Parts: sequence; structure tokens; C-alpha cells
Amino acid sequence: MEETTSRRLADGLRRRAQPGPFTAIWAAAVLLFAVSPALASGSVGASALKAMLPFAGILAIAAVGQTLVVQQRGLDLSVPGTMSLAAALVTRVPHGNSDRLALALLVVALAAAACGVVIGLLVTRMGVTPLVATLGVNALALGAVIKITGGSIANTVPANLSRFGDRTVAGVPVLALLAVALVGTVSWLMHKTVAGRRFELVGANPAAARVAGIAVARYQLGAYVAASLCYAAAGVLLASLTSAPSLFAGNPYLLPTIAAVVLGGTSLAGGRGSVVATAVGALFLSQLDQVLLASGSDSAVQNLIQGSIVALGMGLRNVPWARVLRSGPGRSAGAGGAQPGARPSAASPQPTRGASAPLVQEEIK
Amino acid sequence: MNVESTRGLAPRVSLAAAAMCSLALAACGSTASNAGSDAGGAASTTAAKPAGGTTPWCGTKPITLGIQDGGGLNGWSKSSLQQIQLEAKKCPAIKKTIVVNAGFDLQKAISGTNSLVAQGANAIVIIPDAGGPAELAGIRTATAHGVKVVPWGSNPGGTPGKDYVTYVDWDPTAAGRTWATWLAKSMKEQGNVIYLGGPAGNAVDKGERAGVIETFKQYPKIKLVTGTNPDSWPVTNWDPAQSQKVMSGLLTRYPKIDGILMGDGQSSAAVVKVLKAAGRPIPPVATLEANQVACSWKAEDGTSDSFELATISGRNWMGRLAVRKAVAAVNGIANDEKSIISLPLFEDSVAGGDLAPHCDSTRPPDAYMSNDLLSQETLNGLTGAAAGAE
Repeated sequence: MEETTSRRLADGLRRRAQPGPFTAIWAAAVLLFAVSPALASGSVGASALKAMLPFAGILAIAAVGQTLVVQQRGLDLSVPGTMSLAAALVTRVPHGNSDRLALALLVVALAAAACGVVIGLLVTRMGVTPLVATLGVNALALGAVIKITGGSIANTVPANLSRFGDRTVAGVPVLALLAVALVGTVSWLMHKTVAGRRFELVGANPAAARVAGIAVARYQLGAYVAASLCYAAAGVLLASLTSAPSLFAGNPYLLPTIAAVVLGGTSLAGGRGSVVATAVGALFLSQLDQVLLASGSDSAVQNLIQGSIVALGMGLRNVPWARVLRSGPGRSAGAGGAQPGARPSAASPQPTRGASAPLVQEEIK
Repeated sequence: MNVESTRGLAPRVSLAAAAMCSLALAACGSTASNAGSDAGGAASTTAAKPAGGTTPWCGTKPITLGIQDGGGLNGWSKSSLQQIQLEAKKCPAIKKTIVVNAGFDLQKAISGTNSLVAQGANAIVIIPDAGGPAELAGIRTATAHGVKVVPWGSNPGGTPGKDYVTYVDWDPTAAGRTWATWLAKSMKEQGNVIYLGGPAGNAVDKGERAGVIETFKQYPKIKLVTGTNPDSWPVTNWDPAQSQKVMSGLLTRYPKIDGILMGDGQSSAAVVKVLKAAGRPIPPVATLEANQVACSWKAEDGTSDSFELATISGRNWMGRLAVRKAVAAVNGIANDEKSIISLPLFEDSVAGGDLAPHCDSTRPPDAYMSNDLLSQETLNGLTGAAAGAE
């Protein structure tokens, strides 16, 4: 009996020590910060981090929303529209008057929720593919931005919002702290509450979830609403940081949010995800930006390096490392060597399905 | 731009969503009308000048004027359209104006040009910044149909006089020289200069940098630390948020910055904000005019973060010149005003007086004050128009 318990404990510890899908990004981030000073001196200095962290925070908040949608087997292309709409509303509604900030935030929240509801209904009730539904709502949101602003953001954000964006707490930018708080809260909700576990189950296996009596559509719709609120929050914070956001301020954030999610290890096949790993992915991308800029490399070189690292990061994730390492040097060049292209893609969905299987059983019970 | 309403999908929830959308738009209603009155204010300032009469360029042939903007979605475009429409009002022969915006979509821009021709425009002023040279084919087609086309503000390439009437714009290389000369004096002819540019490879920055690099050769103690390749620069896309990011990276790399040069006023204001937040001294800034950067200068004036600022006009008023040339061409009237103009500084905090930066906190951050503040005499001097010409 005692032997069994200790074996279970040892197995548990071994499992925890093994690299999971969400650990690679931590290693990559640590490595990046370690080599940053060599690539660009001062790029991990206090002033550099202080300048980079607010942008990392904004990206992380938007990427949390993308994670939720990806967990529900979707891909959200409404990030630019919702972020831009939020930035436009929080600038136009107060018209420079700090007293109207609360009203502006309410309007932003309602508009974002409306975007999420429309996408959610299109996906869950009408069976529209998430890509198409989010693309449509993105176009509507960008159209609303033009309608609302008349083609030009004619104000700066209210002074109180601008001051908030510039604030630091104990030397740490408040926007970064907000991102940490959001990521922590969402992570706790996902892992420590029944609703969170069910959310993962719905993403991993909607059919099983339906059999288990879970209101699948409600969770899916909730994912789109929560995601839209995340994008809106990111849009408001971006406006607070820049004071006078451009008309389509959210445009540069679509691909980085997807890259942060995938680099973080959340499977595009849905199910298990980690908002913490996504946030680390956002931090990684922001620091990479900063280092490349600070290294003084040509803009073309910057794009090439950035693209290569992201592609490499995503590609390496799909290599079945355990199998490759087990086969050892020399052996992999044999039978397995003939099909390196086919194996990763065939192998990649397996960990997700395997990981979600116990969850399904647990929920059905 | 049509924003189609989404039909109800599931009764109650979609009703609620629609209500939320309505609330969002309604909340903007008051501010939108304010913006309208603001634009109206700017218009009335200029409209106070004598309007119309048979000006030397107007002629008698009935004109349908096509106005196309490759962009159309920012303050610069709005100001440009306003200037063009004000000039068009001066000519009674212009019976109709048709406005087409492409939203930086090349396909829309090309089809927009074709649609203007199809709707009977016999004079077109166009800002071909949705694709630059890629819009030339559409311009050539319009010219082949006998339409008098005057591109301005963004160079489509081609041959003036053959592919179109003429190309109207500032001289970006001269602007680069003007900025660099001012900066050299403000920096006491020594120190590190940072140049921030727009989208990679754009022709405007290439021209500006050529002038900057050429001028700094006369000042051996000035170093353009962001490189001296005329075709390459730190890319900000003229976007304030991206400019903040880029400047943050450059602060890390260059502990001592003595001058900043960039061709977008609003982004310059974002750069000033980064420097201030980092506790770094704000060096002299040479840029394009924007109400926001002038207001940043004013806000810091007299404080420990005060800085020197020089700007060049946003040149929206050149749209008026484009209208005059297009309409004159339809009538076969020779217009001898300059097409390419070297612009002097519009604002110069060092010189002060009339050249002190003009901040109007009641106007939008992307307002271009030179459109209202440059006197007719000054404009005539710049374009080489005969004295008294309107």
C-alpha cells in the first residue's frame, strides 16, 4: 500500500517535471532575456523594460481573449476591429472631458459585448465558421469606427485616462500589472472552478460535453463575449498609452495575438490552453521587438528575424521530441527519417486529445 | 462606406446587442456634431476670403470635378478635401463635384478613378497614395479619355504632360534640407540625430532623407545615428503607437540623443511623450505640423521638459493648386504657378514671433493650422502666383 502511494507520488512528480506543451515558451523567454544584453546593450535595463512592459501588457490582454476563442476551436479575426472601436469610443465619447470617462468605459464595454454576442450567435446558432463570423464583425466594427469618428480621431483621450496609462506602481507600469491581474484571474477561473473545467471540456470535445449535459452553446458564446471584452480593454489601454490613438489602432495586433497563443502552446485544435503561457508568449514577442529595434538592425532584417523565430518556435513545437530523443542519434535517420514532414502534423493533435480524455471521463462521471 | 445593420438572430439577445450598439453610437452623437462644427469653424475662417468671381483659372466650360483620395481616412485627408472643396466653390463653372475615397485599397482606388471617368468627370484631382505608381495605369486611362488629371500629394511616377497634366507637391528633399539646417543650428552643430520614418521604402521618406543626409555632410560633428542609407530607416508607419515602441527601443540603444527628425507631427508628439516618461531630456524636434505636437510644445514650454520645435506645413492647401491646374487645363488656360514647391518652416520655436508653434486646444490633435494661418500673400509667394490672385 505504502509502496503504491510512493510510486504514485513519484509518478506525479515525474509527470510534473516533464516538459508540457506550455513550458517551452518559458524556456524561450528566459533564453531571450538572457541573450538580450549581448544583442543590444541595455535592452533589459530598467528604462527599457519600463518602456516595453506596457505594450507587452496590452498584447497579453488581447491575447488572453484570443486564447479563449482558440480553446473553443475558433480563431478570432475581430481583434483589430474591436480594439479600434474601443479606442475610438473612449476618445470620442468623453470629448476630452475626464468626468465622462466612466460613461465612455460603459459604452465601450457594451459595444464590445455586443460584438461578442453577435459573433457567438452566428457561430453557435447559425453554424457560421468562426473565421467568417469574426471577419464579418471585424468589418462592421471598423465601419463603425469610420462612422463614429468621421474618418479622424478628433480628440485626445481624457487627461485622467492618459495619466493612468503612464502610471507606475513600485516602478512597474500599471498596464503590465493589470495584465498580470487579468491573466491570474482567468487562469484561476480556468483551473480552479467547475465552470473553467467545463469550458475546457467544451473546447476539447463538444459532443462529449453535450452528452454530459453541459450547455455547450452558452460556453462558446461566453468565450466570444469575454474575448471581445479583452480586446476592448486592450484598445482602451492602448488609447491611454498613446493619448491620441490612430483610427485603426488595433490593426497591428491581429497576428501577434495569434502568435502569442500558439507560441504559448495552446492547441489550435481547441481544448486545453494556458492564458499564463499566452501572456509569456506576448512578453516574448514584445521583448523580441524591443531587442531587434535596439540592436539597430535594418527594418527588413528585423522582419526576417522576427518571422523566422516565430515560425521556428511554432515548428519546433510540432516535433515529437519524446520520440525523437528516445530513438537516439543515428536511429532517427532510418525509417523515421523518410517522413519528417508527415509526422509532426500527424502527431500534433494527439497530445491535446490524450490530455483531454481524462477530463472528459471526469466530467461524465 | 456602408455599415450594414445586422439582423436579429435570436430575439432577445440580439435586441440587447442592437441596443448596446445604438447606445454606443448615440453616445458619440454629441461629439460628432461638435466635430462637425469644428470643421465648419475652420471652413468659415477661409470662406471669409473673397470667394469666386471669374478667376483666371476658372474659364467658362462646364466642369464636373472628380476628387479622389487614395486614403481618405485621417485628419490629413479631411483637411485636404476641405481645401479642395473650398477652391472648387470659387469657380462657378464647376457644376458638380464627385468625391471618391479608397481607404488605402489599391483596387478601390483604380475602380474609383474609372468610376469618376464613367460619371462624366472632365477634371480630376487625385492623391494616389493607395498604391503610388500602381495607380498610374488608371490615371493614364482617364487621360486617354480626355480627362485632365492632376495628381498631388503622392507621386504616381509617369511623365507629367503626357500621362497627366502635371504633378503638384512639395519638394521632400528640400524639406529634408530645411529640417536638417534648422536642427544643426539648434544642436549647435554637434551631436546625435535620430531619424524616424514612415512605412518601409516610401518615396516621401527617401526624398526627405536625401536632403537630410546631404545637409549633414556640412556638419562633421553631427551624427545621424539611425544610419545614412537613404533608403532605410526605423519604421514607424507614421503611427503614434508604433512610434512610441520604436522610440523606446532606440532610447535603449542611444543614451545621448541631441536631435529628432521625423515626417509626421502626431507621431512626433508620441515620441516626445516617450522621452518625457523615460526622464530623458527632450532634444530639438524637426517635423511636419500637427496641432498635437504644437500643443505638446506649449504644454512643456517654460518647464524642465521644454524643447525646441520646427515644423513644415502639412500642405493640404496644395489641393487648391491642383484644382486650379486641372480646371485651367480643361479650359486650355495656361497656369504658370509652380507645381513642385520648396516649403519653408511654418513653425519655429527658436525664431518665435509669428513662427511660434500654433496650438489650439479646441481643435483636433490632427488639425493642420497652416491651412488657416498662411496668408494669401504667403501662398502666392510660394506658388509663384500673380499678386492678388485668389
